[in-house]
Amino acid sequence: MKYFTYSLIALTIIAQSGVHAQSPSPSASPVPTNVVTREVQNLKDKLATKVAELRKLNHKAVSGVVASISGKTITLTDSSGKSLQVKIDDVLTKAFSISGTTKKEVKPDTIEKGDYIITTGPMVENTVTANTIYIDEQYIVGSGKITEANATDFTLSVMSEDNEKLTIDIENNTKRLLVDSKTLAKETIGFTKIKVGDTVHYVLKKTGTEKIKGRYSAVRIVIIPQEYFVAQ
Amino acid sequence: MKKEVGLAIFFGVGLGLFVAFLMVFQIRKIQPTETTASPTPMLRVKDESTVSTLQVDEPKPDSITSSKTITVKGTAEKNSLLIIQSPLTESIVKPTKESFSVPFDLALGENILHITMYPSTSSARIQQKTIKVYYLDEQ
Repeated sequence: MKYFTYSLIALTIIAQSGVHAQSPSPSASPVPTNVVTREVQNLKDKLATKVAELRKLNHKAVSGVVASISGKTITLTDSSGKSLQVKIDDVLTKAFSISGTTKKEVKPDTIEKGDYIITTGPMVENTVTANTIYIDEQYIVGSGKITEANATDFTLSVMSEDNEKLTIDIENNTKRLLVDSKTLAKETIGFTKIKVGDTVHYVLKKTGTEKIKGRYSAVRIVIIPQEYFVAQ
Repeated sequence: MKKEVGLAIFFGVGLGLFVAFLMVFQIRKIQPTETTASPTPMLRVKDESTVSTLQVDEPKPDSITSSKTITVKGTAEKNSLLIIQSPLTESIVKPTKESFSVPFDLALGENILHITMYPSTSSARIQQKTIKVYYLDEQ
């Protein structure tokens, strides 16, 4: 039994050292040069792909109202009230003005305080290094219940889904559509067809120069008559 | 104890130990150095409440596209009234199944998509989502 115990201990030591010895030594077999070149190339390709992915990941578009301009830095206030910095590069940054379906190149220094801009480029924290800046128009898109339809001054009083009281000016060029409660087809209507209690989906133009808080001009409205909901 | 029996025990135990050590080392090699917490699987119970929830899968919020027409995809209540509105246009549909897929035109620049679902029963809650999509003619 004594021999057996000694043998067991000896075998354990041998087994442990044997397992360690199994790990291959890097210098054991010389790696051919072409294999190394291929691996380096693979690594380069992977790195390039990763960099491209990261660039794409950081390439963002943000929009907001220009709060201030200081040298080559624009401070924006986005729709949630968050402040963002936009860095302009004299060589790289291009600026455009959007008008309908077309865009026209403008100089970045034509951007003024109060403009609504969209900027694209890599974003780090709250700073965007602008590749492109677009001067656009700002819209409010939402819906609510009509609480008053004033046929004298062509305004609608609306309680929005956020419980905000709005006064909507219906202009001559406002696109006015009514949804048929049975067929859901849209038809162009006059102001008189709009009733209190109807639901309105609106697109309002926000200029930033509104004289009365909560009063905007409508670009387009879609009316869902209350009959639709009654029939449900 | 006979010599043969002793030898058999010796080799048996030795072989067992060798295999055990080999396995322990292999397992250590496979295991990563840092243990990462496995993400908790999200169970989505398909009941009445999930069916009546408006969900927009596409487009992603604040996404940039170079395509004038996109597809608005998601899930909504069957037979509800779905209105997708933007400054350029609007789509009014009544999904015949829980998923919807609506082609939608974009204007150059920022497009605010206001998506509203009016459930088929008037007692159910109206649901809305607002997603910004940028149609920009750039790469």
